[in-house]
This record gives sequence, C-alpha cells and structure tokens, in this order.
Amino acid sequence: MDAKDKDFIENYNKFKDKIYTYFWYRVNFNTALAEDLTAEVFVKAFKNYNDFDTKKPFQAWIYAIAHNHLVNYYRTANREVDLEQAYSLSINDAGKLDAKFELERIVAIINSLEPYCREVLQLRFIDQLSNTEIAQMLQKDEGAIRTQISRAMQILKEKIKEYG
Amino acid sequence: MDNMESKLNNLPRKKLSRKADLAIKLKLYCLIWRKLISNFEWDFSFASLRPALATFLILIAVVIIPGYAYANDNITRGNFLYPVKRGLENIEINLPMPENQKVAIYEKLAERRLNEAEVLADQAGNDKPELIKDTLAEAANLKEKAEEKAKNSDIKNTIKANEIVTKSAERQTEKLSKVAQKVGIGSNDELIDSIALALDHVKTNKKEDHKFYNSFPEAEDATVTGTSTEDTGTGSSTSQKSHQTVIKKSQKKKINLSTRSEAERAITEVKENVTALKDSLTKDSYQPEEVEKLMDKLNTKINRSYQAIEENDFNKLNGLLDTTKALANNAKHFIHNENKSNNGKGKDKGQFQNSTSSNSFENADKKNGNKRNK
Repeated sequence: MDAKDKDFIENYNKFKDKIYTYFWYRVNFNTALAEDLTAEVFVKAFKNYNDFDTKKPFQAWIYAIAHNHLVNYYRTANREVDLEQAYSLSINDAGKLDAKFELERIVAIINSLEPYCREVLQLRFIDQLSNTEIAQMLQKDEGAIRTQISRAMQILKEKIKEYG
Repeated sequence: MDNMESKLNNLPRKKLSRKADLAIKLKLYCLIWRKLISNFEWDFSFASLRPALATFLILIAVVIIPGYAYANDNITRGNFLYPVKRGLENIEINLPMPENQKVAIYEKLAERRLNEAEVLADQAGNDKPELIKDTLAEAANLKEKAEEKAKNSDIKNTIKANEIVTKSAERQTEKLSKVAQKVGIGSNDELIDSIALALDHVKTNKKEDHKFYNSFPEAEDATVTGTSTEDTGTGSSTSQKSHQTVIKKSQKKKINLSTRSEAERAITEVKENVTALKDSLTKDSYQPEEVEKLMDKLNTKINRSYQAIEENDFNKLNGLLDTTKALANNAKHFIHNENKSNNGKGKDKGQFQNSTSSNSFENADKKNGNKRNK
C-alpha cells in the first residue's frame, strides 16, 4: 500500500459519515440506499484518486463526486420521477418520522423547496460546508452563494410560517 | 433568522453503520490489492528488474563463481579462474586453526595440485609440460609445508599429524602414478624428472624408499643441480625454477658426492642397476619400445654424469644421479605393461614399488652405501 492509498483511507475515515449524511438527507432517509451510494462514491473516488490534486481540499472534491453521483442516480428515466416523488413525499415522510419534531419538519420543508434553494441550504446547514466550499462544489461565485443562501432562508421562513 | 440558523445547524448527523463501513473498507482494500497486483506485473519490466539482476550478478561474482572455481579440479593453471581458486585457498590456509588441521589442509591442497596435474596431463598432455611442472612444484611446496607443520606439532598431536601425512602420501603416490602414466616415457625430460622426483619425495613419507637415500651421505644444504638446468631448451625460466624446487625438495637428504673416485663408483653402480632394471622390465613383459626409450634416457643421463665428472661439475653430477635414480626407481610408473594392457586390469600401484627390479636396484644402493659408510 503506497502513501496515496493510505492518504485515501484516512480521508475515507474522516468523511464517510458526512457523505453518508449527505445521501441520507437526499434519498428520503433511506439508510440502505444511502449506504450503497456512499460506498459507490468512495469506490469511484478511489479509482480517480490518482487524478486528484492533493493540494486541493478533499472535502470539496468528494462532495462534488457525491453530488454528481446523486444526480446520475436520479437522472435515469425512472428515477427522475422518483427524485420528484422523493421530494414531494418528504413532507409526508417527515410526518412518518414524527412531525412533532420541529427539526424533522424543517428538513421536510427544505426538501420541498425549489432545487436551487434546497441545495444550498442542505449543503450549508446539513453538510456544514462553508460558502467557499459550496461555491467550489457548485462552481459558482462565493458572493452568489451567500445571496442564494440568504434568499433560501427567507423562503424557508415563509414556508414554515405557511405550514404553521 | 439566527434562531432558524441555529436550528438548522442542529439538524441530526447520521453515522455510517459499522457493517456498511466494513463493507466499504473491504471494497477499498480489494481495489488497493488489485492495484498492487497490477503494479507488480508491470514491475517485471527490465528497468524494475535491474536491482534484482544486479544482485544476482553480484551473487554469481561473489559466491557461485569462486565456489565453482574452488571446488573444481578442472580449473588448472592457465585458466582465468585459477587466481580466484588460489586466492580462496590462501584465505583457507590463513584462517586460524590448530596445527593438525593446517597439516590436513596443506595435504588436501597438495592433492588438489596433483589432481590438477592429472587434468593437465589429460588435456594438454605433452604440449604444456611447463604447466604440469609448475603444478607439481606447487604440490611439493605444499607437501613440504604440511611436513613442517607435522614436525612442529606438539607431542600430543604429532602422531595424528604424521598419520595425516602418511595417508596423504599414499593417495598422492597414486595420483602421481596416474600423471606419470598419462605423460608417458616419451615426454619432456624435465617433466619426467619432476614426476619421478616427486614420486620419490612422496614415497619417502610412506617410508618405502628411505633405503635408497640413506645409502648416501646426508646433505642438508645440498645445492641444486645439473638436471634442473639441463639443456632441453623447452622450459621457461619459471618452470625451470619450479623444476629446481621439486629437485631441491627431494634432495634435502640425498647425494652429495665431492670426489672423482666416489663419483665414478656411484655412476658405475647406477649403470649396473640400470642394466638390471632393463632385464627385469623385459622379463616382466613391459612394452619393449617404451623400455628402450627409458633406457635411452637413463643412459643419456649416465653419459652426461661422466661428462660432469670431466668438467668437475659435482653439483650437476649430483643432480643427474638423483634424477637418474628417481627415474629408475619409478620407471614402472611411466611405462606400460603389455600383460596389464592386454588383461585390461593391472597390478596395484604398490606392486610397482615392490617389484624385483626396484628392490634390487635399491638394495644394491644400500649395499654400496654401507660399503661407503664403512
């Protein structure tokens, strides 16, 4: 095992839970599916790790792979429907989880937001990424991300008020 | 807004289950293993094999070639590996060990030289007599060192050391006999003299031929001699030197005539014994042609001995008499018995020495010696 392999395993141990959480929130809290997607992402990352510039942050890179993988997962004809359904069902599922819990309700509401709002809010608050990291990941300007997060927060508040 | 942010920051974070974690790690380690395998295959390229190749070559140079050279009797003088062989032998000799073991090592090396002489006699025959002579000279040197070590051993070890020397002498006589048979009587005079003298020297250790030499006054400082510088014209200076060494080794306790009358009497005795030897050889069905050649050589030596007396060159005379007697003593090693070759199997080598002719020759010498002593 060479140094790069060891480095990758270290990064895996550091980010495995974050990536799992990332998927868990985006596949309607499906644990098994989130685990499968996490595994696929890390395998994919390992195969491409030779091309990874170690000077750049691993977190941004692995999130980018996870994001693309999730997009690919829902991109197939059948899954596109599932993706929409997943988000629309989120509110009901949140009820299943126990709507009494405010945080879960908030998550359900986030999932019901427009994609651009949902994405930045999830990345910022669930995945705990910085604005810079979100900007790198979504290949956008940091200022634009800040504005987008601010706007998404506003919409979320309105929605929470709306759902009571 | 801040309240909302704090709420969002407190959203639950999930942990990957242990089972899933192990499954992912297993997949990753499998990938790493596959990568290693594929890299290993790629490493069979010449560039990656260079260190292994270099190690292998060093191993050959340091262990295999010297080991092969050291253990092989076919590596003889003139072979490019011979210095390697000798170098290793020198190391072996210089290792710290008890005197007894040193004796054994010197004897082993002397035998090895004789084996090489046999190989040379087989390969080069009479084409390269110098190489055989030099090898025999080395053997004589080593033999002498073994004897010195045996003498210098303490009382406890002397018997053991002498046993080693005596046993080696038996084997060496056999080996020299083989060399003599291969070289034959038609070979270079110096080479024949070297072999004959070496045989005499070795047999001295077997205590079979003491009688012959004891019949003459002892001379520890006997100088070298006639035959060694004989005018065969074939030997290089090195081989002449080595030939002298062989003679010197075998002469330490031998002839040292200093007066004309003594010399003439000694020659006459030798002449008589040579005639007796001829009769004996003819009687024992030795090949007549070879017997003739032998007689020619012996007679030439006798004639030259007379010349040496005329020239008052007693050193040369002593040498000539030594080699003449050595050749006569060991004549049967150089010539072939018709019966023996016809039967396909011969007498034991020891029988040569016990044959009538040799004994008569030596007994005659003994008698003469006794007379002189009186």
